[in-house]
Amino acid sequence: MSKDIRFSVNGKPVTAPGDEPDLPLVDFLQEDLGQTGTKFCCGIGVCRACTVAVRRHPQAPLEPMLSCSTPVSELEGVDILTVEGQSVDGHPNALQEALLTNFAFQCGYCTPGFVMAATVMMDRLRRSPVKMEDLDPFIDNWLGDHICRCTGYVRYYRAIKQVILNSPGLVA
Amino acid sequence: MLKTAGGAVALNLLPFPFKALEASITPAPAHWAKGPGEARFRIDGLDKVLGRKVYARDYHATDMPGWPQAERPVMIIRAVHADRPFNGLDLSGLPPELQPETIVTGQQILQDGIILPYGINYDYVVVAGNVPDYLGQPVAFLIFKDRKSYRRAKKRLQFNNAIQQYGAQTSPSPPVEYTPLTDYVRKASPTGGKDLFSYTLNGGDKDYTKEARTVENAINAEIANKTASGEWVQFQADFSMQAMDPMFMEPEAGIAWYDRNKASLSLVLGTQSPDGDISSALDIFSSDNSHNPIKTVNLTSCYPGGGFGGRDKSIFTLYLAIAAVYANGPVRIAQDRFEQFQAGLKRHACDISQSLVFDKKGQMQALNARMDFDGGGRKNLSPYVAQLAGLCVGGGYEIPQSVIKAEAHHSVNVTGGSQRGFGGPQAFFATETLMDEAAESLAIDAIELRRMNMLKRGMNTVVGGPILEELRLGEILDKAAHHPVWRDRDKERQKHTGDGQLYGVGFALSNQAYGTSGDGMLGYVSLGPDGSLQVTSNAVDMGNGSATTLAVVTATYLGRNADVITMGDAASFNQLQLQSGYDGANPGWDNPRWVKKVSGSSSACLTAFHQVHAIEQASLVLLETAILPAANALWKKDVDRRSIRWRNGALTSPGNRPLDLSEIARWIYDNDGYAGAMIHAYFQAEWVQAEYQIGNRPYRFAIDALGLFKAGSFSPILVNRQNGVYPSDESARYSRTTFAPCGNLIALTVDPSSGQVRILNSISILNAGRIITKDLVEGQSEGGIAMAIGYTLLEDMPPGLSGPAAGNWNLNRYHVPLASDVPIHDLNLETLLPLPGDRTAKGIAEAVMCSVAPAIANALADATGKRFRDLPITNAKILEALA
Repeated sequence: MSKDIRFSVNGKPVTAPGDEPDLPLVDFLQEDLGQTGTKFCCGIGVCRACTVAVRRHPQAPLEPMLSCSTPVSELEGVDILTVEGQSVDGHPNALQEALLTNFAFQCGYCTPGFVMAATVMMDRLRRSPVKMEDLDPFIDNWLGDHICRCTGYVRYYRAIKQVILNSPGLVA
Repeated sequence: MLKTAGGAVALNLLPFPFKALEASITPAPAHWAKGPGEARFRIDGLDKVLGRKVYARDYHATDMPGWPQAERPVMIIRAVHADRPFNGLDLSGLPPELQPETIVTGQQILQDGIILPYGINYDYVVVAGNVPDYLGQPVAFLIFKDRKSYRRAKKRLQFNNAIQQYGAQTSPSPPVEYTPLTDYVRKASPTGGKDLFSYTLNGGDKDYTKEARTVENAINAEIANKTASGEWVQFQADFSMQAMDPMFMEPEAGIAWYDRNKASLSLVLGTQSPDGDISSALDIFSSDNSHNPIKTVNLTSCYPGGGFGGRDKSIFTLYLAIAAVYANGPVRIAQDRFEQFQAGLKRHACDISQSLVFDKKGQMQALNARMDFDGGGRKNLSPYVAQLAGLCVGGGYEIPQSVIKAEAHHSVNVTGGSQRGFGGPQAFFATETLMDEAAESLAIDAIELRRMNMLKRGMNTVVGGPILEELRLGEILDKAAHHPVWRDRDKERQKHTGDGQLYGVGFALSNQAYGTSGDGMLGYVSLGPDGSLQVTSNAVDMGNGSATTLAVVTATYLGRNADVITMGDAASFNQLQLQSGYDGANPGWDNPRWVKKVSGSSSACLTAFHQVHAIEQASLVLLETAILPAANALWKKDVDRRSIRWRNGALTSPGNRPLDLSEIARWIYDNDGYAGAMIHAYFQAEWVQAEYQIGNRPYRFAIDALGLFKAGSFSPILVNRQNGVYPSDESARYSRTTFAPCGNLIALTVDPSSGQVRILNSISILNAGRIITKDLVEGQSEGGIAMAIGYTLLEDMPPGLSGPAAGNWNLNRYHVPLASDVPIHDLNLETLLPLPGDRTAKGIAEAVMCSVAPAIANALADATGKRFRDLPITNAKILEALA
């Protein structure tokens, strides 16, 4: 019998059964935990709709993780952050509010992936701000591989840039 | 959170078994609205941005009240050959613990009396011994006992074609055309544009086809004579376009449960056609020898994770239904992306052979077009896509003579469906690039040539249907001509001489229709005892914003946005007891319950004009029959209807105290007034209008069926229409009468060393009419342009086994636009201000895509001097042209 895999999701300890170590994280989240905010789209790590954030130890920076392509066997001891953990008492955080009020998404299926990638990006900016002139390419570097089929990306980028500029200390 | 729920039978004459899942209807979030008629954010936005359950893929049996908890996943095995008989499956490679609990075969489906509904010509599942009708046709449904065994078995079965056993290769089947075929021939008088022959005028003739050939021959003879004499100039070209995947982000998924004891089938899915899906799910089990009787279909319609036509009458629903009746409990089908590519509806590959004929001054004289759509394995909506393409190929132009033949044929390829634009993108690509070639050859400015020939109110389309509205193409052309990107293009080109890039600017015009010009719409607005409003629609919001739009338009007549919105509810409206269908000779308008068409699928272009009309009319009925009588009672006098205004949620009238809607609602509930209006409306060139006797006076509304709900009642009082004004028979042959014209300017560069194209600017100039929510319109436009960039430059899928039908395609080889492919900082939309007094809001979601591909191709021609007529225009094709 393989050893169960223990990690946390949004701060809560979880256990993935060790008998299916290649189970993709997105399936574990959706089917075992019933947390369906993280979305399955291509399943091969291209579209990035399934992006979650991972913190490998308490002081580590957040990293993006493709939950469709990451087996639970690789998650022992890490902390996974998903879209469900981003709201504050059921209310949208500043990033989510900006996405809402900019009408950034339409069908919304790719939105959790954008939320989590932008969350990781802003964590990096907090640790290491960029100059204003470098901000657009910085955003493109972090979000440019995310696929949205409904929008022309314009409003995603607008909203995310807006929330960065409204967050003190992210731009040098 | 489920947005909608309900049970329904499709035939309105049957008893009404509707049972709403009240828990599934969610009120609008706080702060979503700015004020009456305005949205601060999408009404469905909060749930989506917080990652709550809204999509069919989010649901399992455990989420559904009253369902058995155990859920059985289903894997569909799909044919990888269509040129040899399928002999069976070999699952011996699966260990016993991973074997499916049930295997559903084609033979079993036939034996059990499951029949094919309209539009599906081939077996659901290939019967062993038969040659599959198309690649990707199911050969078996495998129903597994649980998720774990499904996941493990799928790893062994997917991409393993050896499990499918086939016989020897056979000779191919003869080609089959999907009917009806489109045959539009029009000849107008040379002066004045009066039609002498057209589909509109003559399409009802018994011998239309024969007459059309005579007129066609005359047109062709005139073209031959006048081009030979040099009086006219003909431009001819062949175009080809690839199939395209809608690539909506949520692969199709759903759960279903067949309760054999109650003969009830429950479905949870994201569909664009809930009405049709319910009807089809009932039909297929309705044969006399059906082993699976179904009295009720309950469809819970979730927000789809994108649609673009790919969920319009998708056969996925029926697969789910069929799997359900063979399982010992609820089933779930959740396609992965490989399966979605292999089986999901596509935009049609299309070949067009077209000629445009001008006189020497640039006046269009004739059009000849033959359009051949690859319909793939199932008919779906293919012939109707071809039909609209037949109209669109006439562009936004008055063309006195035209011969247009458009057809869709069966092939072994993946099935084509009603993708965004519905044939328009293919047709406008051909016409608008050929217009550009003609302008160049005639030495007339490309925008000016379009202006010389543009359609105007009072003229006729190539179908012969009248233009009944101001298209305002001239204003679009003016804005394009004066735009700096067009005006200064030569100056800008000079700037790029130094960087080695080829710079070009292209323009194209589209006159895309919205709606089908035969649209039945449903709407229900109800007033709660606290003054809250609830809107119910059978329409589905695929992301296009219809939920938000319908929630704000109650303010037009009721001064307040909806507090609860229920979308995709195909069941509640059975209470109107509508009937439709006729024998072809006797439309049933004399029967007050008869309507010409009850309802159709949801497309994004049906919101602003059609669905909004339904909700506004229901709101108007409520105002006239409930709110005003209550207000008059509270004011203790009858006020002049024209004097009332809504201000800050209160009804006002000069000299009277403002009445909050909550106070009016209380009066209505205390005095047994009306608190709900459920309506049906029908549009065919115009809205049907009729009178309704309510109380002691008749009211006139632009609707054709009405049910009124007394306060607190859940059963409507049906009010018969009388003195109706109904559409003419001829107007059924107009094809379309509602248009959302759009012009698009594209500036781009081409790297001659790599063929790489970079779109620098996109300017869309759109006649959207009245704009209800600006952000939604802009978002649709931006998304349409991105999708069109993909269609024009990036997205490609070959037919046959080298394409997605093989089951091994995914986004690693199908490239949809990323942000870097879209000029996100230079994507501009200009909308024409509505004409004074014109409240028409146009459905623009499809229109915003149609002019982009030809504008890009024209810009490429401007940059490179080469014409590109084969989509997608890849770097390789550009390099080849430049070599």
